[in-house]
Amino acid sequence: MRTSLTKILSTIISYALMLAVIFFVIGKYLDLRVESFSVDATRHSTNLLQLILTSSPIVKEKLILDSDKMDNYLSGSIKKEWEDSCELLEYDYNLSVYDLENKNEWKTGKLIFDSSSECYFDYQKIKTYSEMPVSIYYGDHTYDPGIANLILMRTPLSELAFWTSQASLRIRKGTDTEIIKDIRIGKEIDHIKFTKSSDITICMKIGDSEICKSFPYKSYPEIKICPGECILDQPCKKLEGSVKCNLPGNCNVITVSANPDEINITVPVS
Amino acid sequence: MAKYTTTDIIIICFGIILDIAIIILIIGEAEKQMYIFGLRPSESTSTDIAGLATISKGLVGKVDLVYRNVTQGVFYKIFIEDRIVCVYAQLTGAMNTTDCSSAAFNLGEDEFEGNGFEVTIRKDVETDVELK
Repeated sequence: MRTSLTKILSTIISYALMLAVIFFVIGKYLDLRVESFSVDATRHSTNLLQLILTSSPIVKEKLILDSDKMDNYLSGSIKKEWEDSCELLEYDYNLSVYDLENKNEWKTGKLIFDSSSECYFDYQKIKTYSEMPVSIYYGDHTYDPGIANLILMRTPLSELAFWTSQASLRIRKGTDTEIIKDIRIGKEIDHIKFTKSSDITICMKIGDSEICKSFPYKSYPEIKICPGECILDQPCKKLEGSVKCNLPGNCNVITVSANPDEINITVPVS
Repeated sequence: MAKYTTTDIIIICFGIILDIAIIILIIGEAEKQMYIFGLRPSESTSTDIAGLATISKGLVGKVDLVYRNVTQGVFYKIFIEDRIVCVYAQLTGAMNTTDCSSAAFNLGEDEFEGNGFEVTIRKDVETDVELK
């Protein structure tokens, strides 16, 4: 049997069409960045919850949580001792502990952002959940069964703190000579405050709530805060003490750009 | 037996070469996409080390966790400072990537580099976690 030219050509065209369909389907429905971030976040949430339930300031013994210590650490503002031992830079989280018998509940966390906002990328909307059974100790040898739950995600605050911190390290170690990262900030955030003491602290205010994240900082490259598109003629200002920037009321982009001399954080200013 | 003309054979050969070229291009593009969007050695290694350090603190008693990577053809440079673990990975003749991840507490300072590496995450009963 003789293969006709038409058959050969139609086979080649069929292959090309099949590949085009595969490309289209993969491009439309598979976002590798979202998949990758989701896997990493799940691992981090499980590891972090295990750490909190076995070796944090609220633990009496492993997987036994002390109600008095939870009153102290999981109510009100987050304490420095907690931040020093139970915080990840690239994620923020909500932690809740629920007493299944007495129905008591303890909660703490920083997830006060509008996670459904169109300002954020899909990977910033990934929430991962981890849950573990615990015992809750009330004193006088009284124990109740409970459950601890951790919800973890990347927030504008964690992104900004993580990228500023890693930019400094990567530039100092010489693996990068330039880093530029755009971080989307939702319209729900009213202002950002940068404070430099022994650490750098970044705080974001949403309505009446203010949440902060700190990270240690070496003396170089120097961090500068630059006014964004609204005040182009103003130079970048060396971060000393505390700098507060009011944000315009829409989706904003803060740019972290680092080179061996300085790290510039460009904030759109209203 | 089928009889092919010279033109048919040329077209068949051309078709096969074209298909192979497309498959190679697709594999190359997929690899590039994976590198750009996160499925890369530097990313998984930094997450592995930071995650193991975090989980080791909650384990009972003295702990020695050994994380070993002997992947051929990849040069690694790992640097740890405070809570951050950064990994620079260089594939022979391909692109370089750097990714970082964070642990939940201070890990001190250390650096490793080489085509293969071994990190020991050590926790004594009373002391904090340290990486060697």
